[in-house]
Amino acid sequence: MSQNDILLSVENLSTYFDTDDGTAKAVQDVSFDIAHGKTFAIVGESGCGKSVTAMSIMQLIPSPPGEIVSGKISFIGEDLLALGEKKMRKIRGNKITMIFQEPMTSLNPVHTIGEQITEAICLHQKKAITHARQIASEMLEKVGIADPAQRLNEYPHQLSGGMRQRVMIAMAISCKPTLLIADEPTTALDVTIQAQILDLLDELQKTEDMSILLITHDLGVVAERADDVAVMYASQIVEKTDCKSLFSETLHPYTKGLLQSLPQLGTDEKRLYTIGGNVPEPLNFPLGCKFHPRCSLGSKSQICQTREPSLKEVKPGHHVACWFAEGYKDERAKK
Amino acid sequence: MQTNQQKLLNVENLKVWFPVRRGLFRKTVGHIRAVDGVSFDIAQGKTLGLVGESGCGKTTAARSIINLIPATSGRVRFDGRNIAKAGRKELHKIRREISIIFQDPYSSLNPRMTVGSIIGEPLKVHNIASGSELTDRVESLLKRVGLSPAHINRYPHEFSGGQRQRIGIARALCLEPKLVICDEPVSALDVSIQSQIMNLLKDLQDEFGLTYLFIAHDLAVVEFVSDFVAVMYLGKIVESASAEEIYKNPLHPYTKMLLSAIPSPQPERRTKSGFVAGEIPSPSNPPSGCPFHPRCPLADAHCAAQIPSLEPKADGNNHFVACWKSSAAK
Repeated sequence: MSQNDILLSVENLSTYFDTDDGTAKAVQDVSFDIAHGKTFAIVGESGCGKSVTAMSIMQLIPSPPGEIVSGKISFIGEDLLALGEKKMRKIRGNKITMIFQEPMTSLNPVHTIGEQITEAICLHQKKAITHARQIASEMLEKVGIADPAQRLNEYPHQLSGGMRQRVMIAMAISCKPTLLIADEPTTALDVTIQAQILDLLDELQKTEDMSILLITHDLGVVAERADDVAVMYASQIVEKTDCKSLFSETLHPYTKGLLQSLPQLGTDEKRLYTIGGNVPEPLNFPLGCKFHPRCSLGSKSQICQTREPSLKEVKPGHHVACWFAEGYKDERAKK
Repeated sequence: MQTNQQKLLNVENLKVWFPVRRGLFRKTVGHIRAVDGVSFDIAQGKTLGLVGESGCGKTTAARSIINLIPATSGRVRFDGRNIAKAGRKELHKIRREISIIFQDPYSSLNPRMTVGSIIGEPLKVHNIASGSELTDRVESLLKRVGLSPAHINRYPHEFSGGQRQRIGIARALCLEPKLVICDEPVSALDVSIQSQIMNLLKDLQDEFGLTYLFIAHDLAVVEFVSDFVAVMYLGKIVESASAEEIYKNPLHPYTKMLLSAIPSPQPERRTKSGFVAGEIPSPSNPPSGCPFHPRCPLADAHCAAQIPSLEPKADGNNHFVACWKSSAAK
């Protein structure tokens, strides 16, 4: 990826939360780049820090208790963390927009769809309300909602889950963003609706020329939609590469385990592969590699139990954090 | 469906309609047909997977089987007894033999009860065990589902989602039921935990000879655990066949749509799902004729006018489909 192609670059981002029981390190030393017009996916299980990463980019971390303790987030050459709230408000919801997992709870039930979409348009683009309504209705048409002028006057409860997510998307693209952050956009939806929403995002990405940061727990969704992927486990990125290599040349044992534990259609499996144990709590991470208690290699090896591997490029474009990954061995010898 | 083996559960033409009341006198103005004429059998020791999208009536069907939601009409026979006609005492006995595992491990466990009292409650209700015998049984159950017996005095909030689902499973098993209704037992769990729970359910089935009614919206999960699969759409079963058959040879356009909508974790097989369109209609205002016709690429005037019934496929094979366009129904 050349320097010009990069739209958003996150460097060594760490976000911590103060709790009564100590500091929860929700995101630790996370770095990735999102290219122009591409989809970058962050995949991981609940509590791994993928949503906090997205919220940190948007600077929507409630502070206190949360705090971005270090890192740099550059968006088209500007450091977002140094901007200050006033300037950030001009970018948030305008150049960088976000759609959330729960279309039921992220729309305001007491305002009409029209009021909610036009709010952002009036605020960011300084349009008059009649003009804004016209844009809003064009947006609704773009996301595949029939009879948009009528829908503008309806309330969220009058729409189905899939329709509400379409409204959320219409709202997110109404200011022509360059980056759309989609935080589990289809998790609450049925598979047939999920396929339609993902198709819609694909299509909009091309017509609107935007990049997408897709946050998901579903490796199937990643395989079908992403260009580049980062796998997160216990607040850190453990593997980062392009989508094809992640599935064909998987390096990290956690990624391998996740892939193997998926039930596959049309195969005659008697048992599923399982990763033993549970995801560790952010307040109680194990020493050394955070995955070692659940890893067949790590539970036996001393280096995994004592030293934490950092994310290193082992093949062109393929980063991994595992002492036993192919190509990582030289690093281990150096200890 | 299955004739050669002994049927444990037989559901015939089950209907659950909810009245829609309007106006000052709450007059009934119509019905929501949540379950509309569903029939299936489950053989002893087998698993029937019931698949469908949200709102298709799969959970309502399951709950009306054990009379948690009374059926409007139809017959449910469990082990030779008619559940719909059973009196209070009879029902109490039947419920000892049928248990449920719920979807949400966060809301299905009482936060004020310890794990020991959650799992032991059914044993007390049915006067099966008390005192140290009760504790012994709860401890051995905890061990069997992969938790430590030392956890007996802890509260649900001290456990992760996967562990809570294990508690729910232990509770479901404590009365040694014959039939376990699993209502989306893994959909709220993470991928790595999902596979643990699914393996556990399979092991327990082998060990105790359990029969499962497994409800889920994920076809891949259902195919893994089930012997037989029924696909529901808008309160009706539209296709049923063995798990292998339904994947290899789906006949109903809805089943095909569901299968094509599942994102496959193989980037080289990336395809556009252009075939997938529309949303499930409201059961209070179902379309005329075949309920699927507004979304179906094959539908014609006949589909819009007449409701197809579930017919066996010509070559036997226990494959049933309700579609005018499939060869079976012609």
